[in-house]
Amino acid sequence: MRISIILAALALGGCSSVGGGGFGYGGYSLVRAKEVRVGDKTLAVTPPREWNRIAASLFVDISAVEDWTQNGPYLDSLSFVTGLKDGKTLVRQRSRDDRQVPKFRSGMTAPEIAAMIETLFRVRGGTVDFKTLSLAPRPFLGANGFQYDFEHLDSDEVRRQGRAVGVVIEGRLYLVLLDAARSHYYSTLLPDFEAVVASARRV
Amino acid sequence: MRRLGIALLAGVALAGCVQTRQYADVEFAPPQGQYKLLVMRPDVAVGSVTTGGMVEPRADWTEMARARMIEAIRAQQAGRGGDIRILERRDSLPGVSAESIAELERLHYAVGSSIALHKYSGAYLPTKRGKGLDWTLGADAVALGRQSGYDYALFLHAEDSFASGGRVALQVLGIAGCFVGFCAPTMAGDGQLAYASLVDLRTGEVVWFNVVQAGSQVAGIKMGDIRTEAGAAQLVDRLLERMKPGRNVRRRQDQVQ
Repeated sequence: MRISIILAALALGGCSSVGGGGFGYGGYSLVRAKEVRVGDKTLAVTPPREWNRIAASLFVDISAVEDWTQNGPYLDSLSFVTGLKDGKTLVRQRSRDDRQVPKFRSGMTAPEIAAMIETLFRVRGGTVDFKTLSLAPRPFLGANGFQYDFEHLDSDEVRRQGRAVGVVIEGRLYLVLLDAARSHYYSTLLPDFEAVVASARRV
Repeated sequence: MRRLGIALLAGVALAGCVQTRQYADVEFAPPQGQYKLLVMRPDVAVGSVTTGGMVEPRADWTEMARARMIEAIRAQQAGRGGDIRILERRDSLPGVSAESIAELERLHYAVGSSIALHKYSGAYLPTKRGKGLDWTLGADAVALGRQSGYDYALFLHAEDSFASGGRVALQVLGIAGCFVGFCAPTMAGDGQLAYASLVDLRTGEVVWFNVVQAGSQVAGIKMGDIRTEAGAAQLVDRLLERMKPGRNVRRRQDQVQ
């Protein structure tokens, strides 16, 4: 609901807090334009320019996933999945949670991984409409990986587009995923995404 | 993917006060003279704070408030010399489809939310430090400028809420309770939040942004009512009246003086 989102985003606790800072939902740190290790540090990438790393949340994130953004998560995010093990999910979830996201299985094929990503968006991302644009083989990290292109409409009525490049190596999932507002932000950030994917290496 | 994990807190205590803060692109100079300004249909939401403290949207109040806001913007801009047009409906601009206006409004909502989150709430982005305001609506805004012939687009978002009778009664009861040992005097009452952003349609950049927040912790005490002529005029005045130039423009002005 709009009212609560904006009010919450502003997090106005009284007179002193407009622009006073102090309370956000998390901190951001600078990622420089040089080789950097991401996620559980088993993957190294070299971004072509500076990015903002989103601080991991204890309640949502897992150590194998790291997220970056240029303009804030409403507009774009670049995610890294590094060596996700069999039986693990892309976000933290409790067995009691109502709507479960699927677990990664080391024997998953590319369409199954694509379906896992789609379910994550539908269950946790407020996505109301999700469309696969293409799914094709693509080498990644020196192995036979895949490229998954998709588009989705979210509950805030913004259309977003995404591309994921991934591979399963030794039963573990490695993935880089760009998700951004379709208008302007996706096409502007795609060259960065491609450069990051091209630079990725396991360490 | 991280957006999936954004868990925003909904409970916000509003103190009884009015505050504004604006940001501008470092090279922003407030439009003067013969500028052409397109005012997008104000995005307004007015609701009632129920006894339990939730905001319940009211369509009749929202329509009333939007009409008053449009009148107030027209009056406020009248003396400024610009050529302005207020879009009361999405399909009222010749040559531009209602769908492309709607798409731009939605993108602006995401951009406005990002500015609110990353400039006002403390979740600063390190790559944008020292850059004034660094957000854009991109090629879609430039296309709107080309199709319509306007230089700037002004987007407005306003939300207002008023305590219901039940909530006021509960508060009276809470204060009365202080005399008998059960004391609950403060509860969030009415709240007003608005922001405006000016987009340069030649570049697509958001060049100026302002937020006004007014709230009262005492149910029943209003901090302006945008359903009335005076309240809407007051809010528009707070939002738009004193546009400050960007940092570099201010520096150059200081050097001249």
